[in-house]
Amino acid sequence: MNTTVWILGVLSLCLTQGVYAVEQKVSGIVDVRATTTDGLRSFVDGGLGKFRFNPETQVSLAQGGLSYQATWDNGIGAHVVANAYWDGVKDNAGITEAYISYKSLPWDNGFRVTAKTGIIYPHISLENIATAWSSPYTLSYSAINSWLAEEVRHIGANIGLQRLGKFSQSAHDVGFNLETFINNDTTGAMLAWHGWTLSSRQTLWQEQIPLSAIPARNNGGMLAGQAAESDPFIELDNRLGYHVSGNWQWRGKGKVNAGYYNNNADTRVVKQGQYAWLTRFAYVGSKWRLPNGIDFIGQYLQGDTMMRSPTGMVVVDNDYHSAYLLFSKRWQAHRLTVRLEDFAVIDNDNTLDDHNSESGQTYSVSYAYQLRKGWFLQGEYNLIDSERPARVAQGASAELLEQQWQLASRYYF
Amino acid sequence: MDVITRIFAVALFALCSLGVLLMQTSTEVFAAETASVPLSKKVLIKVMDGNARAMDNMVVYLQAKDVDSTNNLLKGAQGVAEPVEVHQKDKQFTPYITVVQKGHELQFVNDDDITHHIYSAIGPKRFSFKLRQDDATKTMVFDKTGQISMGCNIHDWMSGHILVVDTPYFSATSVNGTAELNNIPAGEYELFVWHPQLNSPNHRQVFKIHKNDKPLVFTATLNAEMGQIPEQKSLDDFEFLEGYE
Repeated sequence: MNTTVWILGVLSLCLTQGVYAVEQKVSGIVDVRATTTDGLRSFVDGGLGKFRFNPETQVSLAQGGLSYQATWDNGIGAHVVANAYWDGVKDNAGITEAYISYKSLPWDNGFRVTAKTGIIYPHISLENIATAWSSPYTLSYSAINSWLAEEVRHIGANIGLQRLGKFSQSAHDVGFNLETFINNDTTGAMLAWHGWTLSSRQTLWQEQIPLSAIPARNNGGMLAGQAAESDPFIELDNRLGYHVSGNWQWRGKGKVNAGYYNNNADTRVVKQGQYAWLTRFAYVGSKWRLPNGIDFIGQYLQGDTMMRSPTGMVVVDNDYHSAYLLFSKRWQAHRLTVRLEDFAVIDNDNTLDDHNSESGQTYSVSYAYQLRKGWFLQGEYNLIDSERPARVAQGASAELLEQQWQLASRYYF
Repeated sequence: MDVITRIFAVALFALCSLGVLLMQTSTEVFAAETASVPLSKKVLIKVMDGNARAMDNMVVYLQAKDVDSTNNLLKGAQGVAEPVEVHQKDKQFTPYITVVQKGHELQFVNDDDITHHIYSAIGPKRFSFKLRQDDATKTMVFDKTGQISMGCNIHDWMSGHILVVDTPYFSATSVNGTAELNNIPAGEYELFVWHPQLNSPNHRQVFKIHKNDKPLVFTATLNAEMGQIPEQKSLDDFEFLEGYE
């Protein structure tokens, strides 16, 4: 938490430095949503349901996002993003991102340096590109990006080198990023204990995430020492994680990104019921403009996560992967998006009463109509067809179809 | 010498003097015509590729080859300055190519309701400035000839070019590949055809224009290939982006 205070302090100091020409911008999103959910109690509420809403019909402030950006003429910028959720599941407001950034002008050879430090997302999502990390395509993010929203964020420092092709009459840009980070030592816990989700709930920096009623957490169980809530942004082992990534863009046609993330956690460390999880994954993604004005996005992520008991015994050892294909077509004021997904967690350990395996597919159809500048009406249907044996211990069926209908008024300003 | 003889002699002298005077005057008029009569009032230029296809939006300009022509050209340049503007509209440089005469002003105009951070990437004049919504114009004088390629450090897909030329006689070809240059003073000229995507040295080709072709219709056939003109459009078709892309 001291690091958070330090970051916010530095940001405040930057914002008061009015001697340089500074441009300030406040933007935001107000997403008011009516939802009908058919499934289990939400993972946000300590259940095993894969949607963020509980199984009922309700109206909520699905996202109240506020973004403040200050940019100076020398390329330095500061960005703070706050989000509020008032959905009856977990009502709260707080910071989701806060960082200082730098972007140089390109040199004669076309190279440009970028840097970023603070509370940041690893730059992986190809969906969450709009204000306050929202997605212009769908109301519920893909499983990959729902996981990022939930517990893959950190205090990090990122430096990037890009080469713009236009300096050499080329349509191809390439870039390379190196990132190191702290405050992410429990990343992987949620993927093990409730699995992949289809959500639009970003965990606030001060929030903790409740666990479902895992039998192994009972007295005498292998997870008896685990706290009732996971703190996703805690630093336990004082070790740096790292994330390397590269990207290639064919201007006007498409782009590809790929990377490797390793939180480098020391799994021998446990503090106040929070275990350090060694979580590593590789990913590749692509966004492409197809014929007839169809946008394509595809992302694939595969990795593993491991957690040990204080005695060094492996308690959780999981592999996981997910992929989605998204097609979106915009014409005039209309946008229609279809997304297909596949996901799985493979439990490789022998811990009793803690089955983390699952597999499933999701199907989403979303239609948005732009009423006027910044104001969208959007309807969406999500279906998750999954198998998760751990549900049986909590009184539900291993095989489950979960559905959700959403109607949103989203106003960007 | 009697009176009649004297009158005849005076008349003869006067006649001869008048003749010399007339001859001198006509020589001067002829010389003056040579210097100021236009080579052709209308020079029609047609630009084609190696497959005889018309090439549009190619910059064409006449550059004087000798001192006399340069003087004539400078005379011709008087009063031809026009306000030249490069707009940033819908996150694009509009037009994509702008030609400005050396020493003349060019104004950048931001028509968008967002900030652009314009920079010059390549060329004889380097600059970088932000054009905000509420501070939407910037004027600049270009005093060196050459090509200036521009970008926006916020919107990487934006791309625009300025060509600074030392002649008032420039234009761009229309859809049918033709361009007209008018009121060209007499002299020796070279015709330049330029485009930022033309794959040749300095992205241009040079042609000799012959004197005394009246009227002048010149077909410039390019042997260099054209690269693809970049589309100034973001991959992310959404207005409310905040740097996550």
